[in-house]
Amino acid sequence: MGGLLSYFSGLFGSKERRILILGLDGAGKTTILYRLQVGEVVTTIPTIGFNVETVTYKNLKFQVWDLGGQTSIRPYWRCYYSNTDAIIYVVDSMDRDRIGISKQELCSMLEEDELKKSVLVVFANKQDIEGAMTVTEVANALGLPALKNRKYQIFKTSAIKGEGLDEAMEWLSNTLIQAK
Amino acid sequence: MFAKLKKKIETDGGASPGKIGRAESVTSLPRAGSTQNLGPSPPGSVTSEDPSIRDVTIASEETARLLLRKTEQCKKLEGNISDLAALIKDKGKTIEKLEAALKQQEDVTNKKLQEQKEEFQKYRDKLVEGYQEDKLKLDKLINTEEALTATTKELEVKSRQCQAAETQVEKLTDELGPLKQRLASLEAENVKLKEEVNERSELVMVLTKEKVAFDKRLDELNNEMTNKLNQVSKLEEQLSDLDNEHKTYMRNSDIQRNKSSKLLQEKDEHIGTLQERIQTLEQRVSNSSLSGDDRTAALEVERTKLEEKLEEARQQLTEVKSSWSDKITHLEQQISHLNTKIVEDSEELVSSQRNTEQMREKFHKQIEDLREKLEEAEKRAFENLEVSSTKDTQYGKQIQILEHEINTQKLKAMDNETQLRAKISLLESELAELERARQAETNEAKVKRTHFEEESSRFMDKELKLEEQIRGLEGKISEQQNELSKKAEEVAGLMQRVEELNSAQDHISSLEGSVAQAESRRDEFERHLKSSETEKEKLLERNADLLQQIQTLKSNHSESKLELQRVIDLKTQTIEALQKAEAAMRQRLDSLERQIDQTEIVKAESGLYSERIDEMTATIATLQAQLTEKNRMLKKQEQTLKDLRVTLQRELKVQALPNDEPSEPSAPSTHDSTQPIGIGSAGSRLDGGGASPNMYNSSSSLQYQNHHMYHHQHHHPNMNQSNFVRGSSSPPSFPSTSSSSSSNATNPSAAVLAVQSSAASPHYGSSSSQSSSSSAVVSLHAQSPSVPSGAQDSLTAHTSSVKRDLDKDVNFLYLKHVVLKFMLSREAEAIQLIKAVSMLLNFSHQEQQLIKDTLEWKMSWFGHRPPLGKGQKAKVIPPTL
Repeated sequence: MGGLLSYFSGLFGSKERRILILGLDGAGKTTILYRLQVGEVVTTIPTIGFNVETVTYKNLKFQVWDLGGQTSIRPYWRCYYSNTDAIIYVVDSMDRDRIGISKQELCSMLEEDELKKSVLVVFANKQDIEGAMTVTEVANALGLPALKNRKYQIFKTSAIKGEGLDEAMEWLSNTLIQAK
Repeated sequence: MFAKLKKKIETDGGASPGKIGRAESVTSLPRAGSTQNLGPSPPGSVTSEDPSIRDVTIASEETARLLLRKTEQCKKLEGNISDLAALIKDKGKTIEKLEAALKQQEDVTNKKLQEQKEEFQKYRDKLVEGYQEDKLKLDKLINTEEALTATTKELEVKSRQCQAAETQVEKLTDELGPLKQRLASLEAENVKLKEEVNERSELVMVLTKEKVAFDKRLDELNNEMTNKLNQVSKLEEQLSDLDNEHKTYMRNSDIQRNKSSKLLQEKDEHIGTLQERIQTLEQRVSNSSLSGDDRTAALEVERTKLEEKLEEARQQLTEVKSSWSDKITHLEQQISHLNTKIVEDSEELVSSQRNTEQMREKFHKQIEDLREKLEEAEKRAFENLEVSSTKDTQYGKQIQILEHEINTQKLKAMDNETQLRAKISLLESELAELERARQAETNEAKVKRTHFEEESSRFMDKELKLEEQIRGLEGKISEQQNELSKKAEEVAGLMQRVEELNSAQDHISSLEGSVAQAESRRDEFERHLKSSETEKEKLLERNADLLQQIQTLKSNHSESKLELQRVIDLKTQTIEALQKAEAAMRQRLDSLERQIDQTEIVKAESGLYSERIDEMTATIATLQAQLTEKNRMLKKQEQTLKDLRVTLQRELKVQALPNDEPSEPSAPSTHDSTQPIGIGSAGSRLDGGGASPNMYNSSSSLQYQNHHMYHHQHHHPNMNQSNFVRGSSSPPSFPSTSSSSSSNATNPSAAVLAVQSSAASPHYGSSSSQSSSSSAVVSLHAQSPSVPSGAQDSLTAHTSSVKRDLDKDVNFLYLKHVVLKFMLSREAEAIQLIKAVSMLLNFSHQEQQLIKDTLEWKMSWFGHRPPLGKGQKAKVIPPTL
């Protein structure tokens, strides 16, 4: 029956795009996921594992995977890389100490063969807090200008206030439609 | 197709029941026909027409025959014979009706019959052909049926699909319903909105018209306003004109007034002059009337007056002249002044004009200069701009260079980081080396430990030897017991001899004569007997003591484990005492033998001593019975002791496992490492002596005498319970403890030896305890070769702590989460998690592929299940249905 449903959903609905939300722990990945899905700020606990939700944006269906970002479970990200259309990489703009770790994780992730064709969207999150790093600071800290052969864009976001998420999703959906 | 088939089958099937009916009707018909043919023939027989009738009858017979043939044919013909029967009926009727015109009818009937025959044959052929065709058709139909069944199956499958699709379509239509409603509502809203829009546009039109009208009116009003303003301005101009006129009129009136005032003054003056003339003239008149002299006097007065007036006028004139001249001079002076001023002014003007021209020229020059300067400045600005742009480019280059430098420095930083990491790795390697060194130290410690263990094993060996000594002693005891039994046999022999003596009593009666001599000797024997009786009493007392000791032992057993050891020691003492008693018994036996020898001599002399001898043998028997009873009691007590020890050690096991804390790897004690095996070997020591920490504390002095083990352990007062259990083993448990210590070195044969040794010691092994011990040792035997002692140590010690830590471990929680989701999600979703699960659980590539294939098989409708192995290697639970 499941096979039947999936068969018909394949016939009727457009294909779901697979998106991964990655980033260090406490960057706000889960909050962003449920902000995108429900449009509300939900209280979250540290994700040990992952959350998957289907988010519809402009007639495009996204299967969004929010993977836990704690240090010990970061190596398991690579298990989810196959068939990924886009990566949303969330950075805590207030966390100046660990931006280097964030960069390392991003670089090692982008070197994966399975992610060669996927689009990168960086969210410089927590912009609502005063004293946060600006978009350019974050971009330079992550070494984004040095990226080659990669469609990417950085947005300043605030998951709590919901700022910047719409622009980012707009860009992402447009890019994915063009890429198709 | 089916309908036809069915019909045919029905006709085929219905032929068989119809046959009988038809046959019956056919068989009955000829008779009827014959009777009918025969019946009417006699009444209908006309004399002239006899031959014809005969012919008719003959013909009827022929027809009957034909009918018979037909019936036969009909019988042969399967199918529509009923029609024929009907036709035959009709024919019979026609025959009945047309007896007169039978000839013609015969021909007709013959023809008809022939025709019918042919028809029948044709029909039959047709039927046969039809039948064959039907058969062929049937075959075809069967084939088509099979095909149809196949197609129906396919159709069923498709119908399922269709049903599913229909359900989906229904769902979608259901969804479409509200959507349509919404569409309708939206359209209605749209219409409303359009109407509103139209209304509003109309309103807007009206308003625009109004606006235009208002604009026009506004323009008109503005025009009016301007007109009125013009009028106002005109009026104001008129007013100003009128004011001007008024002012001019005022001036004119002033001028007129002045003129009039001047005229009035002139008139006044004229009047004054005229009055004076009048006065003079009157005086002339008055003077004319006077005489000559008077006249001349009056004339002279007049003349003087006139002269005076003249003089006054002249004076006035001179005054006026002088004033006028003064004025003229003044005016002339002023004119001259003004002329000079004009000249000066003209000069000044000329000079000023010149100055202005000069100034203009100067200004022109200055403007030109300024323009030039401006151009220069612009040029400079351009230059500056160019310079700045070049500088910008330079700065940009510098910025790029700086960025490059920054990047390089970042790279350097990265390199530094990598170097630092390398250092870290180096440090880690050093750490690892240090750890290795530590491990080496630990190994050394282990070696030392093994050394100590060896020492302990040596001690154990010593213990073994001691035990062997004890065993030897026990063997001696058994030998003594054997001797005792031998002595008993000897006693039995003596009894026989006593019987012989009884038989010899006859001889004794004959020897009564020598009794008197023998009596004196008997007295001596009686004395001997008394002494032996006293010895017997002593033995009895000893027995009583032994009983008391046994009772105390029993009380001690019931009281506490502390006294158990003491009881054991007491028993050893009792054994010794028993040995002593046995020795005494032997001595007594010797003495008795001597007595018996003496009695034999006496019996040889007299049979009177036989009663005494009987009594003595009875006492010996009772003593032996008591001895055996005591031995039994001892065994029973030992058994109860063993039981107590079993229960005690079980309790200890139960208490020790939950309290078992992870052992410290750095603990210097050799017995700490053997601790879990000590627990394991506790089961193997169940057959052995009792052991408990309390007992250890109480009976330490006794233990000290008996065991070197205790002495060895006494120097580690901070050892935990299990060590005490192990250390406080009593003498019977020596073989098993030695096996436990030797099994530390993962020697299964030693463990087996322990079983053998424990089984070989029959004193301490009841059957149940031995079986339990053997099973415990077998479990040890199963563990020891596969798991090294250290690993087993960590296994037993860390299981509880690991369980506690697992709940906090992030990896475990992650595994739990992923596996839970994998199990709860459908196949299509679960396929995405295979990688994660297999990474977490270290699945091999084949296992991963197997899971993937299985999930795909579950998702699809067709295809085969992937091979999952059979028997022990099967990876799937076989289906229960």
